[in-house]
Amino acid sequence: MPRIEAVQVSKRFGPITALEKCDVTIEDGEYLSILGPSGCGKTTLVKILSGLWTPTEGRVLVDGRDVTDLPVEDRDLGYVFQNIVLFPHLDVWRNATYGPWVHARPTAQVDGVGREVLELVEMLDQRGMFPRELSGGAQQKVALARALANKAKFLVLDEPLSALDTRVRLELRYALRRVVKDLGLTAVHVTHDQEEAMSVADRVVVMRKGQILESGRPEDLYDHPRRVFTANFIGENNFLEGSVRRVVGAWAFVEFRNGYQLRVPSTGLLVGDAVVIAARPEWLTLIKDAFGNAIPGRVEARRFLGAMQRFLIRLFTYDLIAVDLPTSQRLNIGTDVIVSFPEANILVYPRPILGLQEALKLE
Amino acid sequence: MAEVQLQKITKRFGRTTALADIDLTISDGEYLVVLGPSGAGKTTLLRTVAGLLEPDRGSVRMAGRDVTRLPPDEREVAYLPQTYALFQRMTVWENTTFSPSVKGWATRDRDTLAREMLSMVHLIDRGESYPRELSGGMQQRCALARALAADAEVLLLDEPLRALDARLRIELRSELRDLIRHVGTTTIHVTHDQEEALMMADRIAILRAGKLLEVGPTEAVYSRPSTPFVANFLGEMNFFEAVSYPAEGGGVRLAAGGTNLHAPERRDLDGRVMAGIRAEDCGIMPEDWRAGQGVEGIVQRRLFMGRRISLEVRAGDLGVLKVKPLTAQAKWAREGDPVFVVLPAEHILLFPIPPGGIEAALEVE
Repeated sequence: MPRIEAVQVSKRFGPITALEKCDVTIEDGEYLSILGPSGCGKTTLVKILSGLWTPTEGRVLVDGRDVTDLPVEDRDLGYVFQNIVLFPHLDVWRNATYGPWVHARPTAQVDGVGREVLELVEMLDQRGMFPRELSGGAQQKVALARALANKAKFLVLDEPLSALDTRVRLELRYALRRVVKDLGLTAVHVTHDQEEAMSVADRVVVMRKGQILESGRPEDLYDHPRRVFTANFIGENNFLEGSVRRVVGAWAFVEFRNGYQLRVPSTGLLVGDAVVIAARPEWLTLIKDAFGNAIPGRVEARRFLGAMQRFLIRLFTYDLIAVDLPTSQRLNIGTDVIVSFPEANILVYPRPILGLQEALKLE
Repeated sequence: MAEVQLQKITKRFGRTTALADIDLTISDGEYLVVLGPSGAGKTTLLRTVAGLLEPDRGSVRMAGRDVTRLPPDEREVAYLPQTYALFQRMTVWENTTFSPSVKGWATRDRDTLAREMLSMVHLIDRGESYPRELSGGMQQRCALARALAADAEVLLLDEPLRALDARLRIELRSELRDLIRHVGTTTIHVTHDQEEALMMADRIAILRAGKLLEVGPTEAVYSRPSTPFVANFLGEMNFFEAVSYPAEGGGVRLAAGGTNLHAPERRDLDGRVMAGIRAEDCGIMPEDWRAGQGVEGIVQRRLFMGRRISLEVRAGDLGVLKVKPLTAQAKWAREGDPVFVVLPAEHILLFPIPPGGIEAALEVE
């Protein structure tokens, strides 16, 4: 079971830098997800990790051994692409066992492997069908089985679910994770879908503009993103800009427009610091009176979300924020409300030098 | 602005019936979302309204006028196909002003309109760029500006957000909806994404295998769906068979094996019913807390999804329940934990038992 390491890898295409000095380690047996918007360099990074491309600078190590210049066919890995690549004239069985068959393994061994991998992806019953007879989700399962049949210990999943319908995508997430964990593989999974990244991976690496911003366990990234970009990219968030008025022990008091203040966790904040605070729509509640950590506002709009409803509230600081509440709560447009910010959850960041909008930009 | 009326529209391709007897009216200024799985006939429906396909039977009326036999350019529609179809050799500005120019607008009026539309989609400073120089999200917004600048009475959007990154899609949903609400154009938007549909639609229409299953105001269709398919397509459902009895004090009592539950009444049903509850409407608590009605079970799978946690709980008579509570309420739950799944009476939906079984009733393809 390999440990894969990229050390200070950069990739340039002419004047364009696609990847800038990235360090990433995938531990033995770890399921790592690389997440970021289109054009962030995540595909470039995974192509370098897998050996499809060589980096302009930096090295790739497998179990400490330098493999930077080793071509992909000499590396021990399985690859699943976004566009499903199956042989149309071969049935499920022949597609899945293609690797061991090409390597002229003994028939008994090919049969054993074929059964094992098709059972893993729950496609053994459809072994006689051809790709055109299968749904997109089923085809991608066969592609996964084929990647596994080579008995590689490192699995590369390059946007494996992006071409599929929403429902199928949800179902396959669990299948992917289960297979990787059952076989004890090391896996890297590239995606632009934050929910997918969090639900499949042990650890998520967030990329933007050719650089790695941060990495962490999914729940830590959601609850305590270290960068303001991550706070917006993973889940949704409300952002308010203010400045620190007082610091008392573990708490800081941040003042916003019109003099409203919130108490937030202080980690090394100083009086006068310009900050951005963030609070997720589902963390906020409405309260009856202004005691507590709260800012008043007026309901401007309502959106239906199914199991929840979203109220857009114009705070008296002029900021427009989203608050998600159960559908049982009745609230008319134009109603004055008081929004309570749970102080322990509030995220605090230094105000970005180029402005908040620039720091949050997705493209 | 115009009302659109589809009357008994049928369209066949060879032996396949792509649309069967579709009756649908979209009011002036309304935002209708047509939701359905791949291959349900959504694009065919839009192309029929646009005039790119002629129906085998039925008629299309706009603002009271029969346009069934009119070519696309004589209908007051702007069609935004899945692939945007921007003119690659024209700049953003030229793409946006194309339609008003063709219609012979005065330069000043044309420029004012184009500037307004490009400002709305936040592309006013990219007028000189060519489509290939733009990101996917920008191209999508440019295509939208072009469609809006056509100043058509009806806007037809075919999966307008599909090609975008997941996060950008969420952001553009609200922007797109606000923009069109501001302009007030009658809009038909087709998608396979239920969250997008719920968030954007005034009314929602569910299409399956060429048939219109249900049309209605979004919240009504969501909270009182007419069939298990519609219920499940608007949010992942749990189904279980039960026997219903009238209960004292209103509502019904449901018996599913040894489990007894309360549910709201449905007058037309008694005896054996198919009961359902959405994964997001189920609550969860440690087994020894138990408050309200529900069942005991063991967590079999757990997936963290950010805002929510997705759990599968093996719950005796009710089989495996899908439960999707908010993360804050279920952080503690681990695979193997004994839990109590709360099934609030007001969220339980009742249906007749589907004749071909529940699996067939839910099948999307």
